[in-house]
Amino acid sequence: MRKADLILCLCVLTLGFAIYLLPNRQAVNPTVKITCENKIVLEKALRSLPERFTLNTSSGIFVMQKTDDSVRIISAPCPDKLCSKQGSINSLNQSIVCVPGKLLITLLSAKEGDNYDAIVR
Amino acid sequence: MKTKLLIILVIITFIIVGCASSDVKYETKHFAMDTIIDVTAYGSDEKALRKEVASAMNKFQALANATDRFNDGGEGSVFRLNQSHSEEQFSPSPLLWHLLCYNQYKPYAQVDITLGALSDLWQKHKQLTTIPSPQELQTALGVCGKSKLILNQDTKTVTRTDEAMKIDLGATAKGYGVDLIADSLMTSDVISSALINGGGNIRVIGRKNGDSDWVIAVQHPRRTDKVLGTIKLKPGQAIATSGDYQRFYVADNQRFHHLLSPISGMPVNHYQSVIVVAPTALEADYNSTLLFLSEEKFVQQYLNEHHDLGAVVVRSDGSIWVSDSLKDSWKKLSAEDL
Repeated sequence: MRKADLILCLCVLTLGFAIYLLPNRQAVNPTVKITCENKIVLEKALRSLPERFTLNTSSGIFVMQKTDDSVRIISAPCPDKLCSKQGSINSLNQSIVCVPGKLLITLLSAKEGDNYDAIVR
Repeated sequence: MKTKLLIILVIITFIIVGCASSDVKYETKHFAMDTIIDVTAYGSDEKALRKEVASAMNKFQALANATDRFNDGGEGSVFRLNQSHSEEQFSPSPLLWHLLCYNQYKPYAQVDITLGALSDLWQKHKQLTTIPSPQELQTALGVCGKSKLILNQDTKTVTRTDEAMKIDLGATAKGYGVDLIADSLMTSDVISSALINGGGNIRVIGRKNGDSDWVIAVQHPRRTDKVLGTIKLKPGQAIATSGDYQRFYVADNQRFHHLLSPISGMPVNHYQSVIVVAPTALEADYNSTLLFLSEEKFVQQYLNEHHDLGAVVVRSDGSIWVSDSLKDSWKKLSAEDL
């Protein structure tokens, strides 16, 4: 191995490490979109929802828990409970899928007007 | 030679990566002045952020105590001032003194801190959902007036010439409190940026997390779950709103809100809301009230003379006027989003 190879090797390693250290971009004020049997049942800014909310679907009741930038299922009517075991999602276009319940939860970028830091009333 | 170059390269890369790593975010909510004070701060160390924010909150709480006219806030508070005898030389706390001077030396009659008796009268009628009679209004106005409050600069004391005159600092206390928090956080080196929201009186420090604009949404005056538009704030700027929808009641199919004319004693109905952007939260708070109570001709002339202020005015018919200074940062949402 020549010296130049060593330099190249170290540069690639350093760069890789740098990318690993860079902050993981979270979604800013995301909108949560929930579809059940391919019909939209909820599409709202996450921050406008209560900390806990429920969804009545044909297969049963789902209970969700959210923060301003993440959401998770804490209780589901499906037999395998894989959806609630997945935990929370917090980055753009990430999804939680419940196949038995035909439920799909996706985080989308903020709609115009939802993307703000505070509101003056 | 090459080894040295390599080492330097590695060091530089690590420095760049070190700079790029994101600050931590610390958010806290605190109840004071009948509202929620929400502080969001960014910095490198969460424990240090928590400490700085807590110490800033204490300053806000000290002001809340000094300006609460319904609960005794101790020596030098406005509660004690409102109980002082006429001709007594009352020594207000430094925070209260500052706020009294700020209001009292403004040349505008529209914002009047001596209207305590008038707002008490409206508060009483609000609970009964009735309207004050002209005689009641005249009686209340009779004990109000800027001339009934005398400030003595030499002794830093204040005197009420009429014991029935009550000081009400509702128009500026929150704004000043937000500035106290902001000033305290700005002097700290652990905070890189922050947003302070004192019940709709907002001030920002730095750029959000170092790299983006703070975007503030403005509530729709008639559809309270909707946003009318957004405003971008520059580092250090503040924003406040005065609106007829904030505190009101309906009697005889009419809306009676809390922003009163010191001349007629009645709510002023030029606009649905006035939003002001200013260099400090105190100025934003004061000027949003001042402009809400003023006719549009005054508003436009005032903004021409005060270049550091910007305003968005929602007229009573719902049309919107935006000052030149805010044309770039104001963004109205399209009708279908409403």
